[in-house]
Amino acid sequence: MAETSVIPSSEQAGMLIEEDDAHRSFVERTPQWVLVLAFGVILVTFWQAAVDLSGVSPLVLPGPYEVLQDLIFTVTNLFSGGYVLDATIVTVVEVIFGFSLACVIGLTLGAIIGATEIGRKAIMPYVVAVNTMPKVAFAPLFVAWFGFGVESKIMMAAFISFFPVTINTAAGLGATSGDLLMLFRSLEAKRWQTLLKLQLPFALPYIFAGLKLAAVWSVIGVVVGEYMGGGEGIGELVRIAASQLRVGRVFAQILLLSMIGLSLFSLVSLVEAYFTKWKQRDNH
Amino acid sequence: MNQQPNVAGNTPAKPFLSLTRINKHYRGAREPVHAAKDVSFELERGQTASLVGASGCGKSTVLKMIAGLLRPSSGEIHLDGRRLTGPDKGVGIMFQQPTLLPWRTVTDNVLLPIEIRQGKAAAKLAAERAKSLIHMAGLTGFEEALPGELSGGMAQRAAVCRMLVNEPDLLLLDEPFGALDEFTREQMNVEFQRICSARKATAIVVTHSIQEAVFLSDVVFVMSPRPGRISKRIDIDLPRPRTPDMVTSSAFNEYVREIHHCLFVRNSEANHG
Repeated sequence: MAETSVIPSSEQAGMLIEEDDAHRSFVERTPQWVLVLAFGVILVTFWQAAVDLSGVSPLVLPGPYEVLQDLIFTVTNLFSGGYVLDATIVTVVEVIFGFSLACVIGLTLGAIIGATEIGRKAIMPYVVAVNTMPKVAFAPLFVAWFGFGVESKIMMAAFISFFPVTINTAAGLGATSGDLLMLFRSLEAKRWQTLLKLQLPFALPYIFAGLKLAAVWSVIGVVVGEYMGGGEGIGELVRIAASQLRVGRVFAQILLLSMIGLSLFSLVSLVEAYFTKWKQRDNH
Repeated sequence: MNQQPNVAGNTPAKPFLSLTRINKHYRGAREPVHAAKDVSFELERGQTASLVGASGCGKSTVLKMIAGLLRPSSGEIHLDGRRLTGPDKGVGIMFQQPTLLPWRTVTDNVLLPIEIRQGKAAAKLAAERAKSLIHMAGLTGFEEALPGELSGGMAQRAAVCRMLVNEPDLLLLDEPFGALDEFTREQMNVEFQRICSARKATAIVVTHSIQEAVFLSDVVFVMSPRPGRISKRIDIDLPRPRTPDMVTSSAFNEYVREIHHCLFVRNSEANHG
């Protein structure tokens, strides 16, 4: 069309500015990975300096080198099928079940709140009220209710992480523009048509934002459950290592936990990218 | 071409579209708002009417009542011999925003009304009709494009196609080109009245542009606020098809002046009252 060629779009204008290299600052010109790496080196240097200069006992704060050794030990143990692998499997299973449960509960509850009047008016206030409670404080109760096995950890993870899914699903379903709802109404769309063809696709970015939060929070839930209720997961390993003042080991195991969270987070992001392909074509 | 005289002698007794003493009250924050008061008008098949007026004069309210999106507090609306009480298959609507679904291609967006009303299978069968509409609207080559890849004017063209795909008897347009730049807007107006003439479509356009109203319409209804009512009916007796150079003709500008005067005098009266 003629109208696209006459006036350059804002993206085209943006590209013109970026091509003007002379006016870009050092930070703008350097690739991001270099910046990330450089900042990491600075952090580690400060860490080492703090340990060396303060004279704190390595039992309390080990240096980067000690932690690296513990990390290598932990990873080696993990991949050689040692006790770290056993603990990781337990924790991963707990996280997956907890997260899945949170998804089911969160999506269902969120859909009820977002798509029905009664849900929005009667149920939403309770969800908000419970959300303001420090949910970690419920951990002892969950141990009492569901025992010292994996069940209490799964329930704790689901309990902590279904909130962001619920609230984002509800908010997403309510985020459709009034004009589009009117269009669907003028087409005499059935309730389910409006929900599936209009509201749900619009809600997907919200829902996935909630799922990503839930992915991270479910790991928190599992660890809290393991701290309180023991068991055989990584949380228990952390507790034991800490009680033995093996701080480096604790750090290494925490890194392992964050890897579990990161993996789940990435998995959710991949699924999101698949479902929102149109967005990438949109913003090219 | 389709010379469209105003209410010609050979029309049947019953008008194609009639609004009879339509009233609409809203519950306002303090007192009820009388958004439409005794709005009555008739339209023959093939005519284009415009509702013009300042913001808050109830023109959009009237349009939404015809579309079945709002229920009149009192009064009746008849289209082609049947009473309208809600959304109707024979009525197509478009808004100021294109309201395309961003994850659907242009073709799938155009086919949405058929998919909603008759299902996916019927939409598939209508693909050819969608293609020819898209071609007519000058969007050839963009059939598989996503709305995000279109300019504002192109997106609004796609919305026109979507409105037409069910072959509605009555087109309702709520400030359809108001969000577009002036050049695109003029171009769209020319094309829209060409489409209307070619299909002998009956259309009601809500606008706050007097030029646009005169250019598109056979009849202009000037509305005034508080309570929203039709304060003046002006028949536009300009030949069709309308061409861009008509905008500078003296006859055209006489209509513009008349409507402008209507709006301006009413407004200043209201302000003093």
